[in-house]
Amino acid sequence: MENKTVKHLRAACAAAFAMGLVAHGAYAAPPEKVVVYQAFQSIQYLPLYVGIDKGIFAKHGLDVQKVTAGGGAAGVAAVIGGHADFSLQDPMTAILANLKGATLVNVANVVAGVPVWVIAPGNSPLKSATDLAGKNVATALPPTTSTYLLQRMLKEQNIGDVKLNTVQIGTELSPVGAGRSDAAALYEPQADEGLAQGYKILYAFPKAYPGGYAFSTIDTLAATIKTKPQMVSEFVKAIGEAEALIQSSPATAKAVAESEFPTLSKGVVDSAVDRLIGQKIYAENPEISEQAFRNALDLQEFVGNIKPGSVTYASAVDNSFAKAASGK
Amino acid sequence: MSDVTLSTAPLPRRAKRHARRDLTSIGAVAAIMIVLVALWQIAAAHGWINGQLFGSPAGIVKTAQIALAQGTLVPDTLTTLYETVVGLVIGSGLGIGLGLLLWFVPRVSGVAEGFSVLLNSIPKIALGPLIVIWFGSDMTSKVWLAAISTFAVAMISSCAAAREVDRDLLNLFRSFNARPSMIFRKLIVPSALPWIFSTLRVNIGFALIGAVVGEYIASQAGLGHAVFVAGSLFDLNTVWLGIIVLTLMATLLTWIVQFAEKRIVTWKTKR
Amino acid sequence: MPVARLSVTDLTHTFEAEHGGAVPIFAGLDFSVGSGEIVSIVGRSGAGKSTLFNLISGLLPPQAGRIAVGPRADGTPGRIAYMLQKDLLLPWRSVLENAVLGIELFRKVTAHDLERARHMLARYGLGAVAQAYPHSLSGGMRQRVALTRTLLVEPTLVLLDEPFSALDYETRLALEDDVMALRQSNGTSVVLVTHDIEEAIAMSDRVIILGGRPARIEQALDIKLSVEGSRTAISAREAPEFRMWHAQIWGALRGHSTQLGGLAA
Repeated sequence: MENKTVKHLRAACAAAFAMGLVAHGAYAAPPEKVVVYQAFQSIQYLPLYVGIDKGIFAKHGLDVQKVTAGGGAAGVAAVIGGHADFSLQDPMTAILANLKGATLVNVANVVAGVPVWVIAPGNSPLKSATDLAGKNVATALPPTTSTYLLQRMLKEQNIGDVKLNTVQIGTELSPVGAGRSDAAALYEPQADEGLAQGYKILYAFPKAYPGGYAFSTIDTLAATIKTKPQMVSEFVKAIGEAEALIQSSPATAKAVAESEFPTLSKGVVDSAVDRLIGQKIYAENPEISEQAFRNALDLQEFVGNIKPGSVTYASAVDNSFAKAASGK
Repeated sequence: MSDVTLSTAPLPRRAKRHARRDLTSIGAVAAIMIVLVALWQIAAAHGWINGQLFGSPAGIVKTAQIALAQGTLVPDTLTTLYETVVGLVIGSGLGIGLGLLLWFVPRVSGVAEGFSVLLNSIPKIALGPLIVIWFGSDMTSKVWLAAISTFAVAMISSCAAAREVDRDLLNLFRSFNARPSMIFRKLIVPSALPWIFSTLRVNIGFALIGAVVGEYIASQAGLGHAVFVAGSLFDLNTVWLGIIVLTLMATLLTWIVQFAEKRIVTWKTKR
Repeated sequence: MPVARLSVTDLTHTFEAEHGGAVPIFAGLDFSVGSGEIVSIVGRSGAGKSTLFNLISGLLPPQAGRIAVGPRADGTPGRIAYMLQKDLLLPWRSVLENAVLGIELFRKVTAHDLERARHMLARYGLGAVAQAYPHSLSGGMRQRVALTRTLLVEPTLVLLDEPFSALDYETRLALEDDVMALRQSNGTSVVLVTHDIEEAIAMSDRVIILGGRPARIEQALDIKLSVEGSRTAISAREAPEFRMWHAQIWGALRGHSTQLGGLAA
């Protein structure tokens, strides 16, 4: 006959075992697969890479697979076609698709400033933007924000007779090196690549845009928000955490950047990340403010791709997830 | 002696029958196309398919009118046409010339052909970014891409055409003590002409692809450029317009070559 | 003794077999062709007729021995021109342009040449189609153009390799008459390589039977036929001696074959 102590002990063990099973069951749920299409493999998109490489998405129960689309439109098309849950690119690309009948919603800001610089070789006689009159500037093939910004800047400052040599994004330094162009308008890491070769900055676009600039955002289908709100919420939370990590630990950010861009020299990668943090290009939180959205929309209306009045902030942005992520 | 049995006597009747068959098949194709386009327009108008995401015939027509009014359609078309034609002429011209002249040096022709087979195996599209970096993003790089796309095929087939000349004809010429330069001018070149024309027809397509892909990679103007930009802006009507104009261009060029072929290669009769 | 138009002396030629062995085709072959003579060379398949043709025409250099083309009456060098079963007309040239091809390849074509060409084409009934292209002519007409081309270079000896075997019987007879007429008009000698024994007998002054391995002249027959007036393709075949010659040649070829049959493994 068992004494009472052994009986209690056995019951306690059984209970603990049962609780262990239940607890194990809860954590055994596999991470949810999520596909993100990015327009390019770009150092500007570092928050996404930090989220993946540092396991932040995994912590939120998401197994994120990133695919490089080759262009903004391709990424948006993948979301529309159901091949991707999210895409990361200029929010205006999603707007253009919406004007043609798609139903995309921007949910998180990633690039909150304007990472475009106009640079020229160190020994060039050009000193500032006004010297570009009559010269040849290498810039990315439209439709691309850097070229639109350049065109608007030249028009607003009345710098005339500038020939644009449009080349593939990322190769803007080549024509300058070959002597075919006098200057280049480009993103990172090409900006710091040039600076490392002695180039100088003629004009820097990352002035403080009051309220920020929705330069590159995460978007998804309205239907996805309806059917998988938990997933979207976790995704945006993870992005927010990654963005915060970049701000609090630039060293971590640089380490991730170096591993994502192994063919670039460490010096260039580190300078680029420093510059992007220092100029407040990386979003500090995923919220897309109305002002930030408007700044981006103004450029498209200037270029003529979008007619004024055809797009509203409310129809294009769902800030609720970002607000919830920041609220934590 | 009057066994003048000209085998051309029944030809008029045969020719008429062939012409009638051609017309009926053209007519059938046209009819099918019209039905498909009409269905497309109806589907778009009734909202069965998203007219803005898929494009619609009415939308394409409107886009064409705007492009003409804005004065972009014609310059873009002429740009791509220029790139294609000049690239075709340079690439095919060099290829054909070299391929035929290799007949004079049979030992070298083996080596040269090996090189051109190698060159042909390289997907020219993959060379695109290289060409653009070397030659810039204006029309020159597209002309070069079109030329490269056509060179290897032209050279290989003219080299083969020169070698395929009837042995007995060659011997006949030699028995009349003809010098190699005479044999080349009077036998090799004329007998290679039918091959040269069929290669030219094939090369039209290659040249056009080279020019358009070059425009996708880096350009300021041209139909490929317009299609690329429109695609990025989800403006599918312009994409369709570009495709249609490119197709018309290719068809027109093919007709021109076929016309020239009929005038020059008069001895190939259809039996 | 008039100089021979063609003399083949001690002709020796071997054929490189695939497995390295040298198969002797001719070993010391001798024969000659006189002015205005028509000589046929017959033999079973594989006897070496085609090789002999290529050697005489100069397309193949002999390994040993001599093939000499005799001079003309005025001392200038003689010339051989040949015709094959294929007419070898250039499809992109008109009949007239094809006719003058031989001349064109060694010197400039003069108005006189064109006149001669038109004249000869007319003689063969091709006057009306001088501007036509080969694809619109019948096989017989095309061979006549080839004959014109061959004759316009004024050869002393014409070498023929079964040029009429692809044509219908009636056309063939007509062309045999054309060839036989050559010796009347120009004194041109003819060497005819053929499978067709009847054709050989009808046309030739001499028939050479080639046989054995290495090939040698088994028999050389002087063909005499009793006909009224000069020989024609039809009158020759109707001559009383025709059957006899045929039997003799046919027998010689078949006899040769039974000999080979005995040796064959």
